[in-house]
Amino acid sequence: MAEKPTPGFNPGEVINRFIANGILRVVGFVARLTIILMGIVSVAATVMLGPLMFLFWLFAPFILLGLALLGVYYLTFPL
Amino acid sequence: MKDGPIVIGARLRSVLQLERAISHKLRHRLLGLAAFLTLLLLAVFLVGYLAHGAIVFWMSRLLGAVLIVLTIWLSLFLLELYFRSHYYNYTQSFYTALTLLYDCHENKDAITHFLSHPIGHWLLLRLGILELEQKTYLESRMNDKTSIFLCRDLDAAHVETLSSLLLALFEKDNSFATFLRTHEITGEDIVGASEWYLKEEERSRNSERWWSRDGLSRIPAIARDFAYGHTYILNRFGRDLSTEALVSSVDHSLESRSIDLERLLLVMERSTESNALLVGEQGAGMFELVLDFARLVASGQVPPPMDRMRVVLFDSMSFIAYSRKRASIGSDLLNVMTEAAVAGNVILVIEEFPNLIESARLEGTDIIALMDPFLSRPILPIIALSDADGFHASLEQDASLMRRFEKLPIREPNEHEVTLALFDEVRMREAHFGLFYTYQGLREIAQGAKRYFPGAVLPDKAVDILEEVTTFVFRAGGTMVDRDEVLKIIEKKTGIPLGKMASGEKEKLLNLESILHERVIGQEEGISAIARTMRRARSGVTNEKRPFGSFLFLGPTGVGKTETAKALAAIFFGSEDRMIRLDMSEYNDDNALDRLLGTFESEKPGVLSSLLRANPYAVLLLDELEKGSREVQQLFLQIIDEGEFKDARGKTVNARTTLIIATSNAVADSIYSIVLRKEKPEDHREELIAEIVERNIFAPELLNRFDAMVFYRTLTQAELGQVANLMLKSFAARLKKKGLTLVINDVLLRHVIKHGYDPKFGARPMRRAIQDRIEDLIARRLISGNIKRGDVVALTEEDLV
Repeated sequence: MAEKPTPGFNPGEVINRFIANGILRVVGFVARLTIILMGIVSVAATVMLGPLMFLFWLFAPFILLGLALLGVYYLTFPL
Repeated sequence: MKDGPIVIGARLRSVLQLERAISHKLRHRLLGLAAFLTLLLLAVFLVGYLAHGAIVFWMSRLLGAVLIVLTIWLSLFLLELYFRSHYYNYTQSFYTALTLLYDCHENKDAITHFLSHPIGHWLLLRLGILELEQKTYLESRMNDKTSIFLCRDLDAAHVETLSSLLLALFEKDNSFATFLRTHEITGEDIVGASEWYLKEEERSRNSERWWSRDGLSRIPAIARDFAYGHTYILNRFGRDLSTEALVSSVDHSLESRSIDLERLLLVMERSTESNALLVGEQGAGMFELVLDFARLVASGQVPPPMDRMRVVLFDSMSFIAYSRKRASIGSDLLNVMTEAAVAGNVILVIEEFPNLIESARLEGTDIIALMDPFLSRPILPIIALSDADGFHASLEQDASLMRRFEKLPIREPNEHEVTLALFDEVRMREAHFGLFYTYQGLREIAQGAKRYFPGAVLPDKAVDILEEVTTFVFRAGGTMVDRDEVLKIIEKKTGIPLGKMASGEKEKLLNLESILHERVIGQEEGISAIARTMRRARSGVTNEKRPFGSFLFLGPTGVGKTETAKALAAIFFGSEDRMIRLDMSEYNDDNALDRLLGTFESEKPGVLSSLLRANPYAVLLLDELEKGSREVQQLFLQIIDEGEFKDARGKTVNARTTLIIATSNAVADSIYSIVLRKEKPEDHREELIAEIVERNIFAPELLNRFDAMVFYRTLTQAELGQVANLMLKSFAARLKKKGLTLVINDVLLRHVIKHGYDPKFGARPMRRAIQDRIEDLIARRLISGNIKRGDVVALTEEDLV
């Protein structure tokens, strides 16, 4: 079921395959590396944002009140 | 301590009130709008800041607006979190029950409250009570001050689930219960309809819950298989079910599968020999079970070794088609399996496993030996699928194979589970055809599929019927699929009269005695016993697990036993031809059972099993049952008792839609002497039964199985005269077709009775007398040309000498 190589030694084909496989491997390497880096970045972001979100959750009522007051202040006393 | 419903009710009250003021659907829209506005204003602000390099006058106002909109957004978001923390914390059933009742004031009528609530309205519609009827009842209830059922009379236990609440309303209020009963709605129907409502709600509730594990796992992952090998050959013949399962998992859940799924998981979790062999019929949900399994694996709800593995369905048929040509099934399969094992993340599902083995065997390859290394080690878990026939034929005998696989027969779903599956099927069809399905309609489909199509596979058959009813109603321009429509379709398919008894059939049943008497002379007691039993069967109060009816007709020959059976076939199955007749005297040797049921060795199908498969809706007449061997009698004992039996191949044959009639002239002599004494055999019932048991004709347990034992007595001379009359009439009718009119006069009748009367043999000699004397005479005259077409023939005394 696999591709059948032509019988005998064929230098042209060997070089062809070498180059094609080489290119494909480089493409695969870049693609996988990108995806893995993106994964690492998102995991890091989650780890860092987690505590921030927790703090926000704890002080949510005050933060909301503060935001609203600040908003009203800026509307009434523009800089 | 567990919170009682009332405490929880108080906590949920605020959530419910919030939900009524602004439904969460509307809130979601507001949330989206606030988010959009915030981001838009923020973008404008940023653009302005970049353009000016500093915050200018108008921008500080804009910043104020941004902050206020942001506050609104966050508040709405927090409100939503509060709502969800309660909404998803309680069962849908309890939540719905509280939604129905939380604002019912203590002194308000609970039924009125229920009926005016959208949920109550939905439920009653599904139960087939139309808008107008609901309204009329509501009005009459409001006017009638005596029928009031106060909300405060409902206690905590009643609101634990939706069905308990509905049942409480149904049971505690007489007027409401009567109203439902006039619509033929039972408590079970109410519970069923509430399950339907909950299923629909649950669905929309879960689809909103995108952050659940199930929801998140629906998003296909990337890079999951980076660490595993690639399966080049397998991909040509395989389908990755993991991706498919995620897409189609929302619909089509069948509760019965959860038990099978549990068992499948137990097998697949084992560290060695984690191979399952699923045995079931096409359409019984085997493939769906594998899909469910694939979904669990894909969403990571399985133990770590299996977590996120690829469940690949191996298409045996196209593989065989490909490899057979090259005579390389064995080596190709080895390649596929090696590759999958090396890849390390494949659970292989092999379709049509027996076929694969057989094809390889034809080629001279022993696949089982080839597979054994994979089966015995934990490198490649395998799920093989097989139907029952193939399993018995090619897998079961192979001990080494059966040791490697754990056999899991697929359980057939019961009626309730089929109904639940139909809820899913209906959803799409309602939207597409614009039809409305009632709960009773679906329940009838589930029941009918099981009862009237016993060989068929569920829930497939039920879905077929649903399909047919849908197109039938759609074409007829109807809008509602109700019980009656379903019964009509089943009636059309089977020929069994079902459904609301049409007036014609009602008459038939009520006057069964006189209809039978048109064909059967005398035998008043016997016929009324048959009529009573048939009325019971037809009204639906009989046991569904048994045949339509089962009778033992006892009496001498020629007194109308067979004639009664024919008449019953004509009345209940539409035609005299709907009768399977087995002469039991042919089944008294050692291999009688083999001939009835078939044998495994010769693969010859049995007489009884093939006849019943071909004519499931018929009268099964067992002539002279006493002459059949004891084993044969035992077989019929079982059939009458359970309504089904297994043939030699282990396949169930159904007899639940047949009317079984056994005849016997075992105690004919005793009946004859009783009649000679001018007494009724019916009055000597006990004696006759005792005689049957004493003479060891039938075992007492067989006698007890019959719905009724009917004694046919010898006919009197006057009755035989009537029989002669009937026979001559039918002969005259045959002549009429040839263009001859036969006058049935006294001379003719007397002649037939004179030569045909023999009380011992009943009507048999009479028939012979007509044949030998009258038919012969007319035939000769026809041939000689004495009479010709169009003549009126009146035979005289001289003719008959």
